[in-house]
Amino acid sequence: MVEAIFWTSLSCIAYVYAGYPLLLLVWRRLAQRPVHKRYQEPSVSLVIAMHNERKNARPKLENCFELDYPADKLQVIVSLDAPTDGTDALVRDYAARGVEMVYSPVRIGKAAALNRGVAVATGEVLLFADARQRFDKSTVRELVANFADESVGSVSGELFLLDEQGKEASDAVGAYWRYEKRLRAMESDIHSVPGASGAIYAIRRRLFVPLQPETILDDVVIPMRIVLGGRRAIFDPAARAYDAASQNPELEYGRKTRTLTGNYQLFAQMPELLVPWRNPIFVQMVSHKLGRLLVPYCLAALFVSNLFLLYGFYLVVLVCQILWYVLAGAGWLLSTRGVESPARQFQQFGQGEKEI
Amino acid sequence: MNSLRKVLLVPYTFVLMNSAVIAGFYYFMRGHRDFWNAPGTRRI
Repeated sequence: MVEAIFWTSLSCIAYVYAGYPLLLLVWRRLAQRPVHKRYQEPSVSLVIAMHNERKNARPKLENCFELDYPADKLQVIVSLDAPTDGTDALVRDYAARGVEMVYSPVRIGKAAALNRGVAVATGEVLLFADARQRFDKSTVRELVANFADESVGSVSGELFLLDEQGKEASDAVGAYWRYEKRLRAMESDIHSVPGASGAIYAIRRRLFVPLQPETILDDVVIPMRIVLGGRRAIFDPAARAYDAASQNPELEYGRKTRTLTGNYQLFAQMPELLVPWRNPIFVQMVSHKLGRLLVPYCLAALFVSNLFLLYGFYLVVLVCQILWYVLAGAGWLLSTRGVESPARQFQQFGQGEKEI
Repeated sequence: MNSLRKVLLVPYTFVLMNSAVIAGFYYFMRGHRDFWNAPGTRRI
């Protein structure tokens, strides 16, 4: 029994982090589905939900005016959720330049704010963004080019996390992030990515269904509804957004927690995602999303079961585990002494983006 | 010294991010919904 727990846990962890990427590698070679991209200029509504974004609102809106896309085809909508820091006054300054503001005097949450923003959208394409990240000039053009392919319903761009030197974050977090983006690229090549980056994703407006107000991960729920509806949710690294690495470890940890809370909610709200004949990317959903939720419990089961298996190969594994956690403790001590913390560098894949 | 730090931060990152899964489950069970300010975030 103890051996069964040990091997089941070990297999689960190995599959999530190594087996699944290998599966994607082979799968993509056998069944790649290219996207037929063609540059075009449909009308686009850029929807940004904001709460207290006094610091980010102005740079974000200035960035919107720098985009390489016809101004008469780009509607910018800011949906404000009861800001208390003067964000509304900042946004009002941009009304003369065509920015439309939707204002809620009471807190309604991000999902409801997005619903309100979309309600006034007129573009054929809805583009969602967060306040903090900046787009490349060509981002809108690159994203909408994918909608020339009728099978595509949702497109997520690539988010780059930049350090203080303006370079893409490296080290442990950077390596993890590159791994994550590689997974998404492969999933996209096969069919769809189970989710998008909240900082940069677009959908066909006619496919939008209003979100339940309590929804945490709009950037997973919206694309997955589209996938369940029979279209693809792809990842296009040619469409880029940039974010600065945060200097606040608690904030980063909190963001990560938000994403994972949202994943639990996702499966509770959309159980059909776990039904193989309903979800065309069932394998990806289970391997990528559900698998990540199971890993910590498998780690615990692996360690505890290993305590009852103190011989041969099992003993070696136990020593490795103990060493791993001792090193983790040392890393924690370093981070609390003001040395660079991984949590400090760990940025969400948009708000819904980083999975562990 | 920098290399050593990087090595130590790999297991720390792994454990920290996995602990967020547990925290996420806790917040989900508690019905936490207000995520404009992420849970666990301290105002400073």
